[in-house]
Amino acid sequence: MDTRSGKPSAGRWGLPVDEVVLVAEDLWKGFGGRAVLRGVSLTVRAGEAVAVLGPNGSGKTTLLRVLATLLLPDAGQLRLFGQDPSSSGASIRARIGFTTHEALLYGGLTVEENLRLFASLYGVKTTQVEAWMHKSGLWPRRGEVVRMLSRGWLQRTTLVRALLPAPPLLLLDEPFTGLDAEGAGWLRGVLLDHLRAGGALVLSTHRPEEVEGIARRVLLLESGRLIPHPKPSEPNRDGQTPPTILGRDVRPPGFGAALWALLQKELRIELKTREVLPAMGLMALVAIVLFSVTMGLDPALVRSAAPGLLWTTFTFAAMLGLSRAQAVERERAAALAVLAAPVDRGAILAAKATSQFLWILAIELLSLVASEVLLNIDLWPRLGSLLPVLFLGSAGLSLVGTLLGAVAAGTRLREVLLPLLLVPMALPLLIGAARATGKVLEGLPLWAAWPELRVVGAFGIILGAASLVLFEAVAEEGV
Amino acid sequence: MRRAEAALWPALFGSMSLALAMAFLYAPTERVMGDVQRIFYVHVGLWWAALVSFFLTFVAGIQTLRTRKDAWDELGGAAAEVGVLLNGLVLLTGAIWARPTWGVWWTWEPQLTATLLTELVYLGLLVLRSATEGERARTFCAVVGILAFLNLPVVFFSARLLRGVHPVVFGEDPAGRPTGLDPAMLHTLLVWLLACTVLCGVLVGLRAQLGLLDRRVRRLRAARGA
Repeated sequence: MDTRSGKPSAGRWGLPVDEVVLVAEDLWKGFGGRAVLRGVSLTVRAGEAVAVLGPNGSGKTTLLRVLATLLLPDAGQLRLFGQDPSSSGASIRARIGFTTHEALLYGGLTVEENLRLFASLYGVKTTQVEAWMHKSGLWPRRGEVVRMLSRGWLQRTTLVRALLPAPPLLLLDEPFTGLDAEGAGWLRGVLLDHLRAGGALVLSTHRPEEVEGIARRVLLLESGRLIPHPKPSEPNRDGQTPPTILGRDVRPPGFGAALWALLQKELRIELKTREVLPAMGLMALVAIVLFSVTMGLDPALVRSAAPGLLWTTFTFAAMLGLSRAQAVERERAAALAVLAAPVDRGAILAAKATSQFLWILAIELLSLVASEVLLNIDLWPRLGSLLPVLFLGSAGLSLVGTLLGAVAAGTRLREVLLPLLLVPMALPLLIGAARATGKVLEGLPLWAAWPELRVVGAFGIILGAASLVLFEAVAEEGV
Repeated sequence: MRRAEAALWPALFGSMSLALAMAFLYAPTERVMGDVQRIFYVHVGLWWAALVSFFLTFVAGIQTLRTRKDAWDELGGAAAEVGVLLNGLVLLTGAIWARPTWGVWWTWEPQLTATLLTELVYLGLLVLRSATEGERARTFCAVVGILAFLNLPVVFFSARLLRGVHPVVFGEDPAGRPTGLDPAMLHTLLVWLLACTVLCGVLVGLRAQLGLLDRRVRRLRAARGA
């Protein structure tokens, strides 16, 4: 018995029977002046399944993204588990399993690595990852890189990612797409278990026969509005064996644990794909050669211009890394799955920025070696004094660059916008860092560069703190 | 609201006329630079108005993220556009002043550099605005508008690392001598600051209104097309 409401409780989540899980009232959402949702209202209770039918482009995906709190409606009210999503985002996200027509997985990681990553972001025990891989038939495929999976196995991995934390509300966008008969049978069984355990389900499809026996209510999304479908189907859940309950003990990770899990992901992807660091390194080398050649190879001129040359090189290389980092997140819309997880959005930015900081620092050290050899600049005796300058400069560049990279990635001009936003914004940092580097290269002690370091530090602190705060707003746009 | 709008135009023409008259008829001719110094009043007035515009972009950005209302977004966008225009005019009037005074159109000294960096940052914001639609545009421009304004003090501090030759109007010159304006020059400058603030208000208000009307037209077209 649920003592608060006085209703009998049921299911693994202790939700009272018929408890309202989701209430959407008069939701509106448009893109570029075109209204996709025009006053959608929907109520879903515990143990209930609702199927949303509609042709391609009818707005099913938009509706599910709004319900999953990954897209803000232009107007209307949404309450999930009795709470306002805008005030209790992470605790609500912990109770939602969401899939869309994209895989929401990291293409460069294996099936198991992906599932372990999302298990840690939801606080799910790793033993349950193994249990789900066995149950779903993914076990023999666990070592395969997601990018190489067939459509069917990709879909199973996607579904397991959403089912792992055993969330009380499942929002599944065309979940049967790509599954063979055996896979569809497995999914049907999992969904019926979920409903018998008291979970709620909203799924979209354009094939009504897929949801027969699952959905109690079938609605049609037409011209942006939900209308009852003429042929509602009744669920058939009698005479089945009780479900195997997976994923009971879910405790979302704190800031540090989430940051560590996401940072490990960044390092693992780079170790496996080797896409970012070699490209950044080559870019730095090309820039140094280009500057030297265009300056007429005059050793005196090159040496006097070395601080500016080095920081321009670092900036070019950093932009390459920052762009690539966003491309990794865009591939199979993996970033959306991370944003759907119940983790502090600041941890997402911090993890990305930390990995960028490490790449930029590595490239800076490589560039110093290249400069020592190609430009005959005697850097090594001054490395101790240079390191604080490099640390401070790279920290500010990576933190602000990661935020602006996320902004640029969400625009039409993503390939060109990052330099246009980042370079002007980071010019104070670059002026300070280049001048501090110049003083150190002249043989002055580090404290002589205190005014410059103050500017670099102020940039990192002010803009870095603002980036951490503002990332939440950028994340709400689903980038 | 309409009454306030109606009052703005006379306020703009009145203050601008008074400011022009004071610059040419009331303020004395500067001893060294001569008549070319009179551009100083426009130059500083525009610089001040550009800063007011960027501050409006910042406030509108915070309000956009808080309320998600179109009006704040349009105000922020309008203020950024007007700020870029006014700041660009600061650079232009500065160059016109610099040529006879320093013998060059441009020099990398702190104030000029800071103004140029500010212009580049806000030009980036305008490109971002044109490359995004809908709610994303609203959020992204608010975020970048906030960051850009918070960056302004760092921009000015970083520019001070460079060698300066700009005239010091208030405070002390590099040699530690107190500087100051003739009272008539100061009065003229204050009137110019006021006139340019009114100009900024009129331009931002008109541009924001135009933006809101444009949104309304697009919504009506979309509704008709649906």
